[in-house]
Amino acid sequence: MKNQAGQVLLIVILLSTVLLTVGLSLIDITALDNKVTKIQEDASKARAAAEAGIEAALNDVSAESIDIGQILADSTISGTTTIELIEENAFTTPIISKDGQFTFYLTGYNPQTKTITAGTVDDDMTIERVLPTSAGYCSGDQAFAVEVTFISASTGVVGRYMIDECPLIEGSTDEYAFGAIIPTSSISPEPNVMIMRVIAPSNDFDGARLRITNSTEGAQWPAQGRTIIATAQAGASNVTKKIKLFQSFPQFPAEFFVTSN
Amino acid sequence: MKGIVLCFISLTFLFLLSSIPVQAQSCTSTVCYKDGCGPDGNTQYEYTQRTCTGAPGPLGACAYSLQSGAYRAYRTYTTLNQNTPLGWGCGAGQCGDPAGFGVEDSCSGGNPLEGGECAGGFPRAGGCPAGQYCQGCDMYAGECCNFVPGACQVVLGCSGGSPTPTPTPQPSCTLSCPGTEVSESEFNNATGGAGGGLGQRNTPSEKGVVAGASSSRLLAQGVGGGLPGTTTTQYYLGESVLSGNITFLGESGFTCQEFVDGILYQGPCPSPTLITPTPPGGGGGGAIGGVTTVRDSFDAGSFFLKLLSNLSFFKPIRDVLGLSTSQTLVQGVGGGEESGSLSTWQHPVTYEYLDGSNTKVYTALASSGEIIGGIDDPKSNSQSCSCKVGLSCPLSVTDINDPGSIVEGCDDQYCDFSVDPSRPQAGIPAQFTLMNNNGFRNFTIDYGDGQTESYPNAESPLIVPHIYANAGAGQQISLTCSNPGGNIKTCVRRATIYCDNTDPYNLPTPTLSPTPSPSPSPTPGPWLKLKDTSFTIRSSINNVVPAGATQYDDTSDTGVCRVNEPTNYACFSSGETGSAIVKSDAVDFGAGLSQRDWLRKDANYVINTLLTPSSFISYVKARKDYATITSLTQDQIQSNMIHLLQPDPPIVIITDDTVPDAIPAGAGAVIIIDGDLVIDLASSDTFNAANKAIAFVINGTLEISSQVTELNGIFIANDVNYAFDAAATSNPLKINGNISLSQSPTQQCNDVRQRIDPLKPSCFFTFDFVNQYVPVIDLLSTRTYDWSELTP
Repeated sequence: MKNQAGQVLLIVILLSTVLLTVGLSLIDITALDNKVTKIQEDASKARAAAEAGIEAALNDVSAESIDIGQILADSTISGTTTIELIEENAFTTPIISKDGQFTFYLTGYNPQTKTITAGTVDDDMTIERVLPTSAGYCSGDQAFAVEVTFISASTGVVGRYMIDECPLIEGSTDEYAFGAIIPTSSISPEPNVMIMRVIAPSNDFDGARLRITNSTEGAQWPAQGRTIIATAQAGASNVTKKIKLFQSFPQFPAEFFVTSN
Repeated sequence: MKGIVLCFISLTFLFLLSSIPVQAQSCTSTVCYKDGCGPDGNTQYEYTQRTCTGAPGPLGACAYSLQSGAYRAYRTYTTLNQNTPLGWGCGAGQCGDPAGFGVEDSCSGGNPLEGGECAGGFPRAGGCPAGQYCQGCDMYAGECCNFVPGACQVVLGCSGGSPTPTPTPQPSCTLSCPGTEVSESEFNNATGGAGGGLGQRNTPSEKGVVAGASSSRLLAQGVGGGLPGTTTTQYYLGESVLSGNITFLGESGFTCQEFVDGILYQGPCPSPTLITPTPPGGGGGGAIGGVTTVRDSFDAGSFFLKLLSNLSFFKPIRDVLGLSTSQTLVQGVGGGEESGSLSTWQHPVTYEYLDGSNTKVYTALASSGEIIGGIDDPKSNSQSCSCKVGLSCPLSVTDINDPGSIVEGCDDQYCDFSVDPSRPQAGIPAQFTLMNNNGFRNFTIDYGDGQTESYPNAESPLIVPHIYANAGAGQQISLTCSNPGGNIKTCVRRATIYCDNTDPYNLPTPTLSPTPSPSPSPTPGPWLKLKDTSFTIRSSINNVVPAGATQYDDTSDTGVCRVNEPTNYACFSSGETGSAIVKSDAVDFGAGLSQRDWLRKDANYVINTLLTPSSFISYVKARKDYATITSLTQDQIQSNMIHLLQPDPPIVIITDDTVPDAIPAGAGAVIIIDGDLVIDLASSDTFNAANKAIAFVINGTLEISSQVTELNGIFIANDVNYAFDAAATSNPLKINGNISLSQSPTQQCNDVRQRIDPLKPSCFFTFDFVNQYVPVIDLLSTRTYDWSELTP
């Protein structure tokens, strides 16, 4: 009889142990879930706060820095938005669609005064094809040409070149190849703006990215837009979110720029 | 003995020949010659040979050469034209002075052309005293070989074969004008059609000039003495402008003292250049033998002339003589020599003005005596030669407003002018727009036709009318602008005044290519021109640029069409032109596309429209600051602002410059209209004359009145009607700024804008970045965004 009682006790102890273990595990899992949920919540808050910082920067063309916590009036959120005008030796355009164009400011653009920066540029430059990447791009739907227009803010259009490697355009006057040196010093009066328009016959053209490099050693292109970086932290978890947005300076749509009868 | 026999046979033969009249009409009284065949007023005889070997008739009888070599005898006054066929001065059945020869032509008038009492060698009214004659028979071999001009006289030795006193070679001259030499009849036919021409100018005495001209004089030389040197006229034809030299040839010691060139110069003759003594001519008098030809004599002279001065006298002189190269003119009958000297000079001249209709006749004259009453005065002198030039209407295409017309100055900052029409027509008012700046407010304009006007302290631009009485090429119009400080600027343009400017362009008629292409040549018609822009069109385009195209105007159409050809305006796109993308496999831009000729013609090319007026409205609402307005009134327009107007019904009408007037200089505005925009100006043909920066984004159709000829601004629309109130108009249209459509156009500008002048573009679109785009760069633009999350 005693032996039976001992066995029961052992079983009870084992069961209790198992139950305790399971219970404790359940408790721990619940606590972790709560913690993750909190972090996720804070992360969302942080992302939203960063986006708010971006939006605030977009709406304030003169701001160089924005306190995100201040604009949200939420003590659990902190962060900063910085706005930079980054000068680079080489600039890569966003994707330019078929029949679209990109306005490149050779002497710069002042977002505060909303004017083209006066000045001169006489640096050599190259325009390279970043996208499409295929060397055989001319053989298919990705064939395209680029019409390059140089404009002076005081005298108007002062020069045009055509990059037409495929070729797609009749006429070969003033043609360049991708990567060839284009001497802006040969353009008179000196231009302030360069507009690159993509001409692509195929409706399946995926778009082009172009890299404009200043070939003059040590020379930089002026900023082509505002680089906005928003960093925000939210909640006790102190989750940080960092978002970067490049907003170009004004772009004349090709539909508003090219004469169409 | 043998010679005597031969001579006898020859004389007998000639006698027989001479006695056979070719044509004989009723001869009621014979006053003629040995052959008994003299004219009596209305009778004429023609002889196959020189048969009139008897004494000359007492009055009026004479003989002149026919080209055939025969001779025609006739009475006085009959020669209206010494170029064959000869004409009669007397009407049928009439005797005496012929009709049309009145008192002026009487012997007593001292008519230089008629030679006093014995006009042209014949007695005139009153005649000669009894026993005296003024008749010579110089061309009747062996008879009546003497002639003393200008006086009644006893007939001198005219007996057969008798040598006559040696005559004195008579001075004479020839004047040659620039142009194509023609006969008098050709000249009259060519120039006399309009405005009277020479038909009215030919006074009887002038007819006498012609009558007594070349042949008689030169024949006289040929026979060794001859008739007095009267006047000879040569005739030349040219186009609207004729430049060259008037060439003078004096013979036998002709002393040229007075000269008029028919334009401005009247004064002493230019200094002559002695060429060479003339070779002896004539022949040794007497008998029929001793043949000497005038032609031979002049050949020698011409040879020297050609060598020495590269002048072409031989042919004109021979033509005046009416000779063929093989024709023997006379035999040496009167003895004497044709001696003396040849002299020549040249006078540069340009004939370029017409008399307002179709022709203009200039007369140049060189004379040995005083020109009393001008070149048309028969009393002016007794020895002279002249030439006449007839011009026709200008046909060349010359535009006063073209830069190429500028002779001097013409800087619109100080002093310039334009003319409307730019090809003025004689007799039709032309509007002169006089322009100056910088205080040069005193205008003086010389219209180039002798009329001058002054406008002190005038406002610029000043529009003044002027009528040119005369058509012609080469008028120099001079505008002088001065300021109170005495500084003077001058603008001189060369103009052509047309007889008729409705179709002065002389465009070649389009013709079908005979082989092998079946397609016809493109037909020039109204055409569109661009400047400084790229071009796309979502359809084909009919835009044939004519060869020889001219500017739309001289203020904005200044871009080059071809490198190094600054005055070539024949292209579709000028200046810093970009590419043209046309949705067609076949397009013909005629004389030229552009200096770069960048073209993509592709029927499959679908222009990708990323941003339409409609989507721009959405973009603005999402991303831009803008103002919603309810009308285009001055109080609602703000500078440097995007305006959104959503009218109900969806149409807005602009009748004046209220909108641009509300925009300060240097600022800009964007007007978005969710509907149609109608531009129908009430009192102007120009919208936004001040060229304020204004961009219309029209989510509808841009409707333009046919009376509007100029729009300044950027016009973005779905469609456009370039003349909503007319099927077509001759009013051109210039859009300074830009125009761009988001869909295939219902019509093209040159479908409805059809300028009369086909050489000028009917539509002219210029890309104005500086004035129109720069001020609205932040308003009429989008942004691109490149987003990335650096910390996930």
